[in-house]
Amino acid sequence: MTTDPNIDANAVFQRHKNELDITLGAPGQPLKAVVFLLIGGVIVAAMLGSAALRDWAFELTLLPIPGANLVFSAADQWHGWMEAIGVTQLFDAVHAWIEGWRLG
Amino acid sequence: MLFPTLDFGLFFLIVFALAWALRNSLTARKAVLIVASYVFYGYWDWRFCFLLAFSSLANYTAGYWIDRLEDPRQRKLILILAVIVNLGLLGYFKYTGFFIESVNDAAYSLGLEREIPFLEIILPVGISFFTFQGISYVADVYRRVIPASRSILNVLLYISFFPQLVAGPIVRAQTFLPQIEKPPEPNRIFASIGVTLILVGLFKKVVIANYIATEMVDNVFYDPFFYGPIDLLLAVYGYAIQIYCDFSAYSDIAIGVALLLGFRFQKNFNQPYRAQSIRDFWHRWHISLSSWLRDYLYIPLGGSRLGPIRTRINLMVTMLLGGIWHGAAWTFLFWGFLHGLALVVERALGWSEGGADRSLWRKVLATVLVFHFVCLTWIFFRSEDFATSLTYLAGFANFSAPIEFATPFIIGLLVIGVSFHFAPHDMVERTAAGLRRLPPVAQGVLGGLIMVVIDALGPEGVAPFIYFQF
Repeated sequence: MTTDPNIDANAVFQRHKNELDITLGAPGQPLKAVVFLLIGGVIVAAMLGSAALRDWAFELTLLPIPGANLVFSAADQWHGWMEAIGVTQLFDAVHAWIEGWRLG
Repeated sequence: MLFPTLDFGLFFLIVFALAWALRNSLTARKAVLIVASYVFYGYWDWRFCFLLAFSSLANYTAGYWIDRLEDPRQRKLILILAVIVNLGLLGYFKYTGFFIESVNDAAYSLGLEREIPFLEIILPVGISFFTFQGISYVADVYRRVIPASRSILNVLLYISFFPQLVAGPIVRAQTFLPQIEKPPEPNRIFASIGVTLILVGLFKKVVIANYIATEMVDNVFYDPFFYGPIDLLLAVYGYAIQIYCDFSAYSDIAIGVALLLGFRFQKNFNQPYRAQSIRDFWHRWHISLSSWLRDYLYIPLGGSRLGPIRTRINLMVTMLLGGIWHGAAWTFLFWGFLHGLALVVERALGWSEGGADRSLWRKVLATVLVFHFVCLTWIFFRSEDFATSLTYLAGFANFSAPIEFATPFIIGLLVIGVSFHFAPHDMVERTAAGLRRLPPVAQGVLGGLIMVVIDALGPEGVAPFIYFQF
């Protein structure tokens, strides 16, 4: 047995320190690249998840927020376009797949 | 404001743009992050922003005086006052109802008819977390680990920083304050790690934790009387996976969001169900809490320096208080007691050392035993009260009940949930390294695609994170 478990506990934490530092040795990215990354992510999420965007905009109309109806109209129009070009099918297909699995 | 919502997504994009645009002005950047954190917190109940500000102000003032005074008795007095203020707030909001209920129950059992009127007190979300952060700041100034912060903005931001404000990790001032004292590095943002953590966290929360809760765990724990041993076993395994996926998801997303804003925090979970002893479990589960309890409670109580009996008492006190920190109920206290007892027994028998010299089958056996002990304690942790816990345990002998939850869907979710423990411990880092090889726009496109798939996989609506109630 260890004679001083306090010291031992510290040693254990020290040993795990490298495991706990998730950025250890990783190269960072420049801000410009991160901005492009976020823009890419936002555009894809807005296209493929246009139904969620429309649902969110609809909930805004239930609150006393000026311009909420305008936001909803725009989101609805956007969703219509995305539906027309067929990109919303991924969401529907994945959702149908898991529902099928869930309901057996 | 919940992480897996569009509200938070838009909020984050605005904060990200402002925080990086103002990176060259430390004060303006801090101010933006403080306002953002108060908006984030006020989204639940704006009245508690005053509580958050009061807590920050009290700790800032205490730190200022402790740093300024030379007389050890005066410094200690202010430290004690600061701890009383912090724990007083926590005690009032979190434990008043529990205290009144317990006194009334005791009075009733003694045949007394008079009752203390019950007070309806709303629990401010995250109070347990920011209280502990406040105490650690004052205690570290007292120990001269860090100097007192000269700027009130630093303490306001430290206590309220929105990614980890409501459900941790509990970040130490010595980790956080140096990061806001210098401009962030715009050429060294750990974005791919941050994005990977956010996506892994979203998957664990939205798909695994939410489905396991709504499809099985909530039903079984609501009334375990109607279920047999197979369903009860699946539900407790399910809760073990749910609470891990739920809580570690919050930490993952918090750390990921902080990384995108230029802040670095350590992991809060390290594959806890691979632990080979309860002591090992607490080195892997909610690491920021267990290390907080060790540094600010166990060691100040004397740790293991005062002999074996006192060590056992200190361990038990630490775990009992750790239990009641989670929630104002006897079940949480008992949960802490069971963990404390296990730590005491392990220490007495020399089992807590673990070690690489164990044979493989002994390691596997130890892991299985520890996992099942932790599952047993989760029954008390999750149950509404002791009666429900006992009904749950008694149900393991109820062989007449039909099996309801042993479906491919539930088993599949459990297997996926467990698989996080058998992946390489640096899975996130490796995935992020792979992601980083792609051009930035492609990284974003892939991230956006995965986010939509996660949204499609999850059930309707977003359940709050379990640890919000603590």
